[in-house]
Amino acid sequence: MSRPVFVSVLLEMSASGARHPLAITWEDGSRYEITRSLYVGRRAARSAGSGECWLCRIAGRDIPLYYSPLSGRWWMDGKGDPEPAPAAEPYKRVKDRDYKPAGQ
Amino acid sequence: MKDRVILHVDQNSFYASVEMLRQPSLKTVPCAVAGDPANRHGIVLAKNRLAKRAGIKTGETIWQAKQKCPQLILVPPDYRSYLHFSRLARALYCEYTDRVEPFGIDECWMDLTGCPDHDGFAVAEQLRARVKEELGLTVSVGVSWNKIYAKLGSDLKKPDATTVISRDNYPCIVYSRPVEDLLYVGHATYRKLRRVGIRTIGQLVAAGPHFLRTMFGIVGLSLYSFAAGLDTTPVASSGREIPVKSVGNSITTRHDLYTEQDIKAVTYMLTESVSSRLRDAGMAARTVQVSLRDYQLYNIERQAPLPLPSQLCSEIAPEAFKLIMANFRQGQWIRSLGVRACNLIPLSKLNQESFLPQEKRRQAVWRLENTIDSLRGRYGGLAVRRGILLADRSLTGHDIKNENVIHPIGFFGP
Repeated sequence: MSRPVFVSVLLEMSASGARHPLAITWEDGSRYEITRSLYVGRRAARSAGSGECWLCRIAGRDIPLYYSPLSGRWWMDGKGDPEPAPAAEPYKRVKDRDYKPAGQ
Repeated sequence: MKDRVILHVDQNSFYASVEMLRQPSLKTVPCAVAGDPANRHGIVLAKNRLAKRAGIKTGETIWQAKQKCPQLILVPPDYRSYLHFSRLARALYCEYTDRVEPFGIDECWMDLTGCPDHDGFAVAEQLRARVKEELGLTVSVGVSWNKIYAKLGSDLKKPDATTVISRDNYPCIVYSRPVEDLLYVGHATYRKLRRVGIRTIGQLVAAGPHFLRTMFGIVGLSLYSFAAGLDTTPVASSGREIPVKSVGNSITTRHDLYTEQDIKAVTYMLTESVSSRLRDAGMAARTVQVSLRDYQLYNIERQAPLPLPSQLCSEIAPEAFKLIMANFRQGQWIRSLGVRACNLIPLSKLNQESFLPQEKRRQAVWRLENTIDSLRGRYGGLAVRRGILLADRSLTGHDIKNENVIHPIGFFGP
């Protein structure tokens, strides 16, 4: 199983608008340099979500880094279980008819 | 003439899929996307496969769904991300052809006739793989030579599958399907057809156009052509501007409306959006239409002509309010209210200068409302509001114009 790990990214924006990630900071605070990055278009992540994807060479391995324009966040596939589904809540009736407008 | 190649692409339980993409653990539990019961939008909008297996249906109220499946997990809808994924998928379809006609947020027809990639099945398989790899969602695709069969095909195998309905296999695939699978056979038509013993599409075709004409009038003929695969409706081009025929907004309010003041406030709130959208479109309305739904879900619609063609809130809203009050009976509390401007004409036909004092006043109001529009455009829809809207903010704290989502138009088009 894998879970999404949101990372902070040091990004270089070129004059033409292309983005090159240069380094990432993992959730535990350790920083990794990206020696080479390749934009591969939109991809669904193994952990969760889908977004724009860069293959980043970190310590000799090509690892996908994702960016979602919707949330503006960057993430990678991390090891471990994804967060569990929320527990179901019992149904609570909303008593809308109890409403009385002011002055009545 | 060679047959057309038409694909219908349907994103499987779209809202739920997007939620599961974001939170994969939802795949392991029955889950449904449902509106907010506090705002009385508490119905199931989409559900995943486990919830479907528990018997949950789209459109059910939350309490019904919870009775069937107490461990059901409810997720609030996030229309922004659904629209985002819908746009991405549509952009992907547009790489294959320029004729991509959306039908709602999650369905599209594509016409591949005359395109370099015109092998329907190959494109369908490629699309399925690409949507899965690039967006992380699944689609089911129907391939046929007309839009109706393509849609039918995409409904046959779900999720993530391709169904080809060709000239060779259509009698054995289509004719045995129940008649309600056909597009535009709704509840009323279904009941009528059952009464004469028509249960499958094959029986509908066998009944023949003459019989259906006597039963349904002109609609019977189109039903026949839908069922027999004779439909020739083109797939609209993706860049086509749909001419505006009417502009309307409606809302299910947070609580039932039973005072004149509440009704007036909601009417003005809706009309502000309608008139502002009319101004954006450069149209003026000659008729105003209101729709009311009471707390027993009984619907009525009424319309009245406007004294002068108008795009002004201060002229449309009083007419709409008058119309509502004329049809509102005490004790019949209003649950949902809609205001629609129809019978539109372009404003360019109207702009004759007049020196009558009355007309001068109208011009001044028009300038005022335009100014308010631009203020709202700059500072948000709630920047300038009418005093009447401030009495009960739970009812009227909506930015109707910007929350507005245009729903799919009918198959027959404008």
